[in-house]
This record gives sequence, C-alpha cells and structure tokens, in this order.
Amino acid sequence: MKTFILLIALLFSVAATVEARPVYGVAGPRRAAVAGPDRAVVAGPRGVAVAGPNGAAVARTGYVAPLPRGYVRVVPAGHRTVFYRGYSCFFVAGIYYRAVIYEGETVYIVVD
Amino acid sequence: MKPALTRTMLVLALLAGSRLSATAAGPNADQILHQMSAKLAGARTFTFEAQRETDPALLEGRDVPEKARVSIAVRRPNQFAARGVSSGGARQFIADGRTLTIFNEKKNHYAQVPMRTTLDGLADKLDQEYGFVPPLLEFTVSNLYRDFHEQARSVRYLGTGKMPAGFLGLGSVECHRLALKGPQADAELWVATGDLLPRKLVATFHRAGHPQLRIDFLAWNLNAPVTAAQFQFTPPAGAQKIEMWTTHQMEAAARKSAAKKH
Repeated sequence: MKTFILLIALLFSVAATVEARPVYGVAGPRRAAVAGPDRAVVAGPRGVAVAGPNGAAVARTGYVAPLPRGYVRVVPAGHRTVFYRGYSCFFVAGIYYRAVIYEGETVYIVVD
Repeated sequence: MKPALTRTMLVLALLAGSRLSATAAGPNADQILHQMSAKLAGARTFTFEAQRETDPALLEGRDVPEKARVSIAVRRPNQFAARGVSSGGARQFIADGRTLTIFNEKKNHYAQVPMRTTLDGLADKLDQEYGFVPPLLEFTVSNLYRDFHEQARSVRYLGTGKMPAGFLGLGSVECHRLALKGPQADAELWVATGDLLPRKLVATFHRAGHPQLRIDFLAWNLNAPVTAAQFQFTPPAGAQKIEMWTTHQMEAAARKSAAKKH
C-alpha cells in the first residue's frame, strides 16, 4: 500500500514538473536538475545540468538549465576572434567557442 | 409614528445596510481582472513600457537583481516586438507572424527561427521548444484572465493604492490592489481604477529566499500608431547571424559531453 501511495505521489510530482508553465514569465521548476548515476551530467525532463568544476553538482539558484560541460555564458579573457570550421569563433586556451542563442540569452559552445 | 414614515425609515435603513455591506465586501476582484483582460484583448494594436526587476534567485548565473526597461509593441493577432535594455546591453525580440528574431545590440549578432503562430502560440511554442518566453509577452495574450487563473487559485480584493507618478506625485494613479495566490507564486496586481489597465505586479515565488519579480507598467497606449515596419528586422551592418538552440539540442550536447567523459 505504501509503495502504491509513493508511486502515485511520484507520478503526480513528475506530471507537475513536466507540465509547469512559466509563472508571470518566470520559468518553472520543470527544468530542475535530476541527479544522474555518476552525479556528472543530469538531464531533467526538458533541461540539462552538469557537474561543476569541482565535480559536485552545480548549485541551482534558479530553475533555468545550466550549460553542458565547457559551455560558458562569458568567454574567458584573453580570447581572439578567428574563423574556424565555418564559424566565427573566440579562441582562448586552446578552445574554440562560438556564440548561440539559448533560452533567449547568448551563450558560447565549444567547437569540436 | 405614522405607517408611511415607518416604511420610509425602514427602506432607508435597508438601503444604508446594503450600502455598508457592499463597502465591506469591496469591489469584485475577479470582475476587475476580467475587465482588465477584456480591455487588453480588445486592443488591436498597442504599445506599453515597463520597468522589470528580477531577483537573482530566479535567474541562472546571476548574483544581483536584473533591472530592465522594456518597450513593447503589439499588433494582433501575431506580431510582437520587444526591446529590453539592462546593464548587460539591449536586446530585441521581434515576431512578425512567420519568423522570430532575437537581436543582441551590444554583441551585434542575431538569430532567426521560423515561428508561424499567433501571440498565444508564440508563448507556448517558445516555452516548449526553446525554454524561454520574451519579456512581458504574457501580457499580450488574447485571454489574460485565463492565464492569470492558471497561475492563481484565488483572487482577492485588498483595497486601493496610489501609484506615484508625475512631478511631486501630481499624476498619481489610483489603483485596485488584487491579491493572487498560486501554487508557485503569490502576486499583488495593481489595476488602475480609471482605465482598468495593469500598473504594477509584484510576484513572490514559493522558493528558497522568496525571490520576487517586480514590474511597473509605465506607459500604455491602446491607440498606438503601430506599423508593420516595427515588426520587420533588417540586420545592421556587420551583424553576425548565429544559431538559436532548442532545449533538445542542448540536452543532446550534454549527453555528448557526458559520453566523452567516460
């Protein structure tokens, strides 16, 4: 019986998580992180989270998905602009970054 | 006492009683919300400006509140243009009914994706596929009343208040104050008693630290001369076109990143 109640509660919480819409324009908890088996990369129902630089789970202050490993919101200082693999990129510390819009904001992804 | 006089006094007493009870109960909060929604839905083209302040706990990667001044132009049923200016620079969101453009003025780059939908569909589609909603788009949907009720389980009348405006507050606007209680946030909405347009929204989220979103509506124009040109985007000289990623794309990138680790 307890298992059944727990299962129902879990189903309700999952449904609420997936269906939550922005409230007054603010993203809801549907993109909340879910701990993965290795505590490294975790994918929520519609979002992703990754381990922080120290290997611990990224502390979530809000509910917007953090970026995958290596992706950044600000390119490290000292970069220079280069053309690489068909993209205009920022090159710094041996890594090429290119800008994309994600969740309405500019972020920088690693060009492999 | 004459029977006619008694009847008159009785009627007066009943009238006074009914007046008192109406005052005690206050105006109908739900009706005010409905009237506000109907007024905005009836505006075919309109503009408004707002000052929006968002606590950092509601944002990713921020440790200070984000303050933005947002200007909006709307042409129903499917055109929307917003320009938000904050300390991080200025951004534009333009939907012309076929395409959505996001332009970052400071970085001089823009992204465009097909978006053939109405304003109502725009909010849903962007939220579902791209994980965000442009600033204040939620105030342009066709049925704001329904949207508010999806976010609030109850609406209660709190009284009136004055929104200070103008020199020495001479242009202050008297507003109805409505309390909206919801599962994810409680909000106080101020609606002007005169024109029934929203003037202020303060939403307090049921999250750690009770972060807030504060919006002051500064200027409404429901007869604005909005033209089609306001929803057309022409890239400035040297602007770079970049991609706009969906949440699925970012999830795939995260999986790839995880696979590389092993």
